[in-house]
Amino acid sequence: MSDAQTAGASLLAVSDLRTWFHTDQGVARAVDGVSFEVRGRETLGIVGESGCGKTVTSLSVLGLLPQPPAKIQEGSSIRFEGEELVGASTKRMRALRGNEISMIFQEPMSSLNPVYKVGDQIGEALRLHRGMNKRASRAEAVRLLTEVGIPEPDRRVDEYPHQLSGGMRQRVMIAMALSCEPQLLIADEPTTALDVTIQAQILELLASLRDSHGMAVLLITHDLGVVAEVCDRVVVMYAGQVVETGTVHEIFQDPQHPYTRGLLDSLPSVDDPGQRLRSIPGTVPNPIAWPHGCRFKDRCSLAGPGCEKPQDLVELGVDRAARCWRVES
Amino acid sequence: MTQYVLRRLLGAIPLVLGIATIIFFLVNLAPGDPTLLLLSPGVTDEVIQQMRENFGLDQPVHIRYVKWIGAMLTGDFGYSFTHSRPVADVLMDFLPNTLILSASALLVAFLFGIVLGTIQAVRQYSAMDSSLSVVLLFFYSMPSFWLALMLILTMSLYARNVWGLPIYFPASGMMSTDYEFLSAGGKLVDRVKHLVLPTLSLALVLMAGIARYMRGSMLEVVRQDFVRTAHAKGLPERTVVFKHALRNALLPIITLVGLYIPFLFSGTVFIETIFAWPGMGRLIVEAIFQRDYPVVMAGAFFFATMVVVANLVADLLYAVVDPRIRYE
Amino acid sequence: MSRGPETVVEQPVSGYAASARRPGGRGLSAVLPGLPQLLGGRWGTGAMALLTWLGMGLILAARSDRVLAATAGGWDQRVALATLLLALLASWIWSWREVAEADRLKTVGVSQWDLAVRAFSKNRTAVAGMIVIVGLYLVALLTPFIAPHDPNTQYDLLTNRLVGMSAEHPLGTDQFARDVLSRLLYGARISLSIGFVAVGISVTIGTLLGAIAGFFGGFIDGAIMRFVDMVISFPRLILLITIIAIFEPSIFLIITVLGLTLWPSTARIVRGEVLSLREREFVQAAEALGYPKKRIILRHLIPNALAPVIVAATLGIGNTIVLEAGLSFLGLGVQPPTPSWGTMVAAGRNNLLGAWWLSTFPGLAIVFTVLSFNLVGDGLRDALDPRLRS
Repeated sequence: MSDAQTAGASLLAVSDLRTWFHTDQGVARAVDGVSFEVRGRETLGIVGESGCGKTVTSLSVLGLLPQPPAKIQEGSSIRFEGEELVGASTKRMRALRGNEISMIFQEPMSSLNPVYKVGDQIGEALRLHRGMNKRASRAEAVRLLTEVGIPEPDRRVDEYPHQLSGGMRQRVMIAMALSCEPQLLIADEPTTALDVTIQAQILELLASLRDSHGMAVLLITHDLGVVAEVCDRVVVMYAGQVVETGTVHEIFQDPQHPYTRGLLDSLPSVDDPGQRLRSIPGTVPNPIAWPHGCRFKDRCSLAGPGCEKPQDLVELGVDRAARCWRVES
Repeated sequence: MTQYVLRRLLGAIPLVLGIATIIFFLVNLAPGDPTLLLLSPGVTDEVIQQMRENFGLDQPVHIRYVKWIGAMLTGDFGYSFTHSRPVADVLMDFLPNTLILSASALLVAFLFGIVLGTIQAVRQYSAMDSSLSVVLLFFYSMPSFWLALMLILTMSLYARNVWGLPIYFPASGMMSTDYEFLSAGGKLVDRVKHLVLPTLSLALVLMAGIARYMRGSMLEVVRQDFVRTAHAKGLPERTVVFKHALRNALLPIITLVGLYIPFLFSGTVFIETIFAWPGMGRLIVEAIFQRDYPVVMAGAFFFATMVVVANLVADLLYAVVDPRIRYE
Repeated sequence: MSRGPETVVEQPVSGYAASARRPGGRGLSAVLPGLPQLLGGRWGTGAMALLTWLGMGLILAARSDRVLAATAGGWDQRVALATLLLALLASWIWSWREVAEADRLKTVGVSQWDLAVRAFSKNRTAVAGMIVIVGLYLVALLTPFIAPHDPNTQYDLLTNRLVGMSAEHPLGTDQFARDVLSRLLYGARISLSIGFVAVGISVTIGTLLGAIAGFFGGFIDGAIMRFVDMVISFPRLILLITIIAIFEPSIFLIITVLGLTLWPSTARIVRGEVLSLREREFVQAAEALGYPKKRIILRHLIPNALAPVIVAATLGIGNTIVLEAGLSFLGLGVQPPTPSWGTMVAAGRNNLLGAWWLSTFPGLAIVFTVLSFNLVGDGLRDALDPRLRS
């Protein structure tokens, strides 16, 4: 099924997504006009600090946000293989979840149900979407465990989450997500909660599975190192908006937006050891009250007169854009 | 797992021993002649002296203690003068009735409590949630003896005499006076009818506490990450709630069993007295007023031991249900 | 609860600041305490102040004869008089001060205690419960003025026995032709005071022992906790009735025994808190500084462990009131002729069909009292816990 996915064809098209939260203190515009596209067989990374709206974006795609207080605003569009997901029926969304679009989360320990066996949880999607019986789904779960690199899968399949290490649990989550051969895998900070050495292993696993299954991946992370490893194209988010897009090469070699530059600068470099770590001064503003004009201007070293009005995305080429008036020059 | 069971069992033994010790010293260190503890009041001095020798009451306290514990281990709980029978026999007559009442109350309380709590959590902030909260809070704040009287007032006395309803419930006893003459089916119905009001009086207060707890537990569980994972797999709401959330939310409720059993037994004292139910609670109260101390001591000991046993069962149940404990 | 790290919080300009700006805010509060708060939207404090003032005024007006007599009366009546005057003064002064302080916009450090109080105030039902409790205690203290009749006076046994609700006897009379409402009010004093004192005793003992057990660990911990386990395993009522039956019932005994059976659960809670607190840095710092153990326990550990204790104590008062009523119901509590809600319910048991009011009203009194304590306890739990966990 996934081999029929044509590289380059638009798989997920998000257009002007606005997800707002209604709270006691006001309306938090967590995602405020975000557009991007994930194509067949490609890996798109969404990067940004915590609080920029990237997780909310990913949850909005699958409709996993509780509808009070969250609300996807009118005019937002999320199209999967041409089908509009915003406003789709719960039944349709449920048919897609775990089936055509899968998601893995940040904390593997708390994301697995502690009272059910691992194999049971992996097989659940298979029983639901493929109508398998218990025996068949268990056998398939064993196969999946092998595929994600867990040794002794026959034994592990009947174990409980607390009996596995962090890295293994994340592999189980991946197995669970892959069970129905989804077209698109959404990975929300999959390695953030893991040790550095395990991180590398999991990323490698994701990359190889992506290739062997021919699926597209939407990877959410705050870590540019992860982006460099696995992604083809990048979307940089800040304060609920997209501030820069481009391929990995373009972003790393020639960042256009000051925020992107700041992110890259703050990466410790092997080349000049002993150099003081640079960070972006200030903190992410409060989504209930985004600043007027450019939302980054209070932290930007290049702030100037043009920053007073809200910035539009400036097209710089095919799939290349930045939200800053300075790039036009 | 067996290790866990053994450890808990072994730990319970000193507990039970300690309880027996407390009871013994409470009763025997009371002011007054301990011989009177074993005799009906109003007996002549010579008889008292004779009894004192017979029962070894002229011996120091610690020797009596050891003898008493020894006797208990062999099942000899002494002699009840009000019933003119060995205490052990008396207890055996009354214990099953208390167990029937307690068990049905526990069942009703937990069943309805869990259901109501779950409904509240799933429909949080709705009108049903708010109104249930109010009603449950009322029941939670009620003394069970008053609830019993109110139930008798409405569902027994008024239902029959004032409102003339076709269905009313008996206000006392375990069975009707004409029980012998009823058919087999009729006997069952009669027994159940007599169980209804006492069970409700005990259960409703407990149920309110359980529902409140269950609501909180469910709400907490529903916020957990694995519930989000279940949604992300495309599972229908019903499965997410009843398969994934409920089982986790039930875990702390099991410990409630152990916590609530003492309250349950305390309640049976009142309920059995009000409904003239021939159980251990009523036995103890009457024995206290009649100064039949062997019965009091044995009864108190039994109640406390049942609490310990119930806690043990609850712990074991917890281990069965929560795999994390099982593999410790 | 320590005066922990202070948080700088900008206090929003709220109702009473608005009411202070209203011309004559202070003047208004001098005339009628609580009025400016009510106008400014501060329902809780406004209601409390206003109701107190109005209530006291009503008593003064309607029962002026008794109030005057109280100056020369017994202990009971002098306490009631003192309460009346203090309540008047308190509501007046408090309302005045609140309005006056609103002039300053507070951008001051706010301690954890203040945060908790604020969170509690937002909880409507908890505040309502608090008002009821304060009201109950006030009523209990002012009973000599409020009660329509003397609780032990028996009216004409031929005509006034078991009379239903009427103007003369708003809640009817009992089988000895005594006024039910008055007995109810006097019974409130018993229940409320026994509940409070017994829980006070148990919290003191329980906190100390629990802190010692948690802090020292080892053998002391083991010994104390074994004992705690034993007492907790007893159905509390059975223990109570056994002890009370052996040593004849008296109010002193009841309070003591109630307190002695409640402290183990407090001890458990405190021990748990101390165990987790012991690992925190500020305790290790205190030890490193060489503070004597007693000081560490008293000034550092216990204040921080208090939050769940306060919640448990509040809920415990409710439980204790029910237990005391139960004991009285069985005849092992307060002895006649002293009225207690429990004995009143018991007395009504034989007259259920003919005089339902005898058992119903005392029971309702118990329910509402316990309900209020439960509401406040729940509110305290919500207000205190999340803050102190961070």
